Amino acid sequence: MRVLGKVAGFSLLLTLVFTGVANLLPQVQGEPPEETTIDVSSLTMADFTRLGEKLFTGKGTCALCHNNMGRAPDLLALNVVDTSASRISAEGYEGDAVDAASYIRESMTEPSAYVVPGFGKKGTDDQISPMPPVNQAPIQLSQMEMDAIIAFLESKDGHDVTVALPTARLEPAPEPANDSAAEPAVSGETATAADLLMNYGCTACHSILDSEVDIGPDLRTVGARLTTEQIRQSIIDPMSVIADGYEPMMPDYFVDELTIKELEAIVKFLESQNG
Amino acid sequence: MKERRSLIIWIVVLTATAAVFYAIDQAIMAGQGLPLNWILQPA
Amino acid sequence: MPTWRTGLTRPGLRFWAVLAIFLLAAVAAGSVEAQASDTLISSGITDQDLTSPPVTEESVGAPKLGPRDYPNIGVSSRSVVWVVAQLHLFFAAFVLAVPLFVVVIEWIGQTTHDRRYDDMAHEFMKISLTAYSITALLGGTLSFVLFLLYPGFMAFLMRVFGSQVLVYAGLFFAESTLLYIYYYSWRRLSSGNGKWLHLTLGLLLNAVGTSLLFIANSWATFTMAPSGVTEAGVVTGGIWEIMRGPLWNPLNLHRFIANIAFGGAMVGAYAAFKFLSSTTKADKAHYDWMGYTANFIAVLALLPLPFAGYWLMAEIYAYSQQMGITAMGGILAWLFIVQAVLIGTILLAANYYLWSGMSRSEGSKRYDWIIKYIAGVLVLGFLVWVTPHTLILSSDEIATLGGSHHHILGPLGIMPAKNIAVNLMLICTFLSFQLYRRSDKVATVSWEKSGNALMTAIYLVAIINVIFAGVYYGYFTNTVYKVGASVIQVVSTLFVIISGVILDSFMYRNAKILPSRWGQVSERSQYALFALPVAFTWLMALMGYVRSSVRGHWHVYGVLKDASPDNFIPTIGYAGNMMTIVTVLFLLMVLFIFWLASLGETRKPYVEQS
Repeated sequence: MRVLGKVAGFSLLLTLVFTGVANLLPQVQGEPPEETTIDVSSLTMADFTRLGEKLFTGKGTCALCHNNMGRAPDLLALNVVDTSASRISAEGYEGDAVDAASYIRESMTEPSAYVVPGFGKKGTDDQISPMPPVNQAPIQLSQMEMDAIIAFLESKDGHDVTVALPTARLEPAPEPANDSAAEPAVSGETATAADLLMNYGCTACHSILDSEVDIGPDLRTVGARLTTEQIRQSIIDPMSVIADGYEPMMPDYFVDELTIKELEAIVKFLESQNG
Repeated sequence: MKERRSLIIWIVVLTATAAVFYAIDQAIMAGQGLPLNWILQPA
Repeated sequence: MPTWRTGLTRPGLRFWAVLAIFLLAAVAAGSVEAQASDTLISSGITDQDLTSPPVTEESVGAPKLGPRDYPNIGVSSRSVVWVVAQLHLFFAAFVLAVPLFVVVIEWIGQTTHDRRYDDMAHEFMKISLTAYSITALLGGTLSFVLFLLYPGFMAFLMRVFGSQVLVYAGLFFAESTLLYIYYYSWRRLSSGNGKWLHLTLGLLLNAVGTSLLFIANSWATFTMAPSGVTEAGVVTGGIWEIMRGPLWNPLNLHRFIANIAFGGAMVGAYAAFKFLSSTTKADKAHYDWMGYTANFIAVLALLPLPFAGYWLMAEIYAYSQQMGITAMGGILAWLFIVQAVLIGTILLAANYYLWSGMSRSEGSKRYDWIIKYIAGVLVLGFLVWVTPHTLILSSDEIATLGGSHHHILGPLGIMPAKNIAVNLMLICTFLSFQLYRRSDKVATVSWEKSGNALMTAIYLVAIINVIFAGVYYGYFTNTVYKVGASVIQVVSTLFVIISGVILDSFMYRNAKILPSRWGQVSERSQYALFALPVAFTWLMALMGYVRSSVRGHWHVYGVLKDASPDNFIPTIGYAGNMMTIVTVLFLLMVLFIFWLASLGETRKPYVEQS
């Protein structure tokens, strides 16, 4: 029994030493990326570039490599706009960019379009970039967030920001743009709610407008059943509430594809559908 | 005499060992690190 | 008065050989399966035809979880899963590892006709058996809490892995059956052909156990580097494609070796416990020898472990640079300081135990002078290693540290300095080990002098090479050479270890054996055998935590987001406290098992006839 006590005491003491070391080190908590909810109506360009800077060090994880430690070009030290111009005109550049903004965007979504010599993946002779496309998992920046980062990179060296604020434009959905006939209908101010419902395929599952299907709940009476807030929620996060008798199968990517104006147009149209 | 002999043995052995290590170093640096994936190539 | 002979000279080599065969077999099995599946594909039959779930299920991707998808039980769900999962892992590692070396020891006993090995193997098995039921209990609890607290995540995993879970359950059943048969038939199948049957049972037991380990590993690696699914989580590949992710084999190798080191350390603690509480000379001698053997196993498995870890980390970088940097250069990087403290403890304890053990034989006097130098190098290496790495810091961290680099320690904080330190510490540990093995022998071969000259030259050149490669390539050339330089260092260290083992096996053939007195080791040295498992346990908790949390706010990296309230990376202090809670719980349960094992049966002391 004496041995047991001694042994237990010794082991406990050693464990406490390790715990002590862990508690002596700087205590930092790693937060998940914040879900950026911005009030687009009152957004100024200064706010937008600040958001870009936050995304650069935060959710975008750009600063993990783009810093002064030599893993990737140090974007904070470089004059990004001037550098972009020389990259586009450089021999061996085969991308589609025409100006700084489109070059930065291309670098973010297709990192291997142009690999800065010395920064390629090992063994690929600078043909393949080790950088992940930032618009895909796990980073998953939205178009607006990428715009904010471009705005930040342009403004930090005193250049004019060439990307537009999110309120001032409606761009085509970034997803499959191969259906060229449908595109004009969803982009631009003229898109009506009816066009949107057709183009985003709502009519494939829901009874609305001319369609008669019962895969998802009937939307011709939705205004009577749900509040405006609930309608919006059902589009943004379809899995949050599942209507009785239906399978939870509505895709959840509309939140990424719809612009704010489009979403509001649909919501407004649907809330008027009360039988 | 005997001491001199062991000194010679020592020098020969040391030089040979150093040469072997040097050759290995050169081979590794030429190949920029042995690709460990050779041993177990995952999917 | 029985004289106890160091019995592991030749069998020691054999142990290594068998270990290597085990590893090779595991690797070969992997590649054969891979080839088999490639053949299937080339002959027009895809994996998918064989194993994929029905089409209706396939079209469904990963769910998008919200905070409401996680039940709130009042305490942090993550902490609950953390404790249960880690406890389960400790016990599982232990019960899977022990039969691995038990079979080897039993086989040594069979071929050398030395009953002590057989007795020891049987006794190791007895401890493992009680632990087995606790493992199963904890495994059940773990799946219960996972399904209860993370239903969305578990539903997705179940959909991805599907019927593979049934294979796991079947293997678990086979493992249980084989384990009990193996243990309880020990006496009955102890002679003649029966012994070979028994050894075969042991081999089967290990094959099943290792398969269990590999399947469970595929779940862990799938969440880190998913394969066989699209980004949206739609299953596109067969089960083999899902299992064979880029991190699977590195983790298999790493856990396989680490389990052996861990298991060895645990039974070492058992032996030390029994040594300290036994009163007769024969018992003390038996448990001293048992502790020595267990430590031998733990240290031998520990030495290649950094290299397996290096491979795993390299594959993580190759899979996702972002993930690699999060682990090594981001917020989790501080944990590697704690890791340095733990491995430093392990190396110091192992070396101290070897030095104490040398006093068993008079032949050790020859080597006394060198120990103070080894100790010096170990301590210096340890200090360089714990010097904080140059990190990517947030403004908070910089404020805490008072600058991004320490102005004096800066040069010691980067990787080349640490690589020099680690490799020198490993070389020193091997030197202690080699001296220990030599301490009771006098070589009789004619070329002893030349052999020693060669060995000294290898040590000398390797040490210079490690330092030179680190300093020259680390500080005076372009960073791209750093990786190559670390390979030079690793190869130098391995060169010393392998050539040392080979040289000694030839040089001490027919050596004169000096008398060793088992049981006459100091009581203090036994505490090194406790320091080892305590540090191992804490280290496993730490590294497992790093492995798991590099995923950040993802359940399945890039596929299924973690929306629970616990989806952040906690502070090191919090994590450290969790690890301590788990370690203390585990140690208490283990002490309980030791106590149980000492009940009922008193060992019949086996006295070697002189």
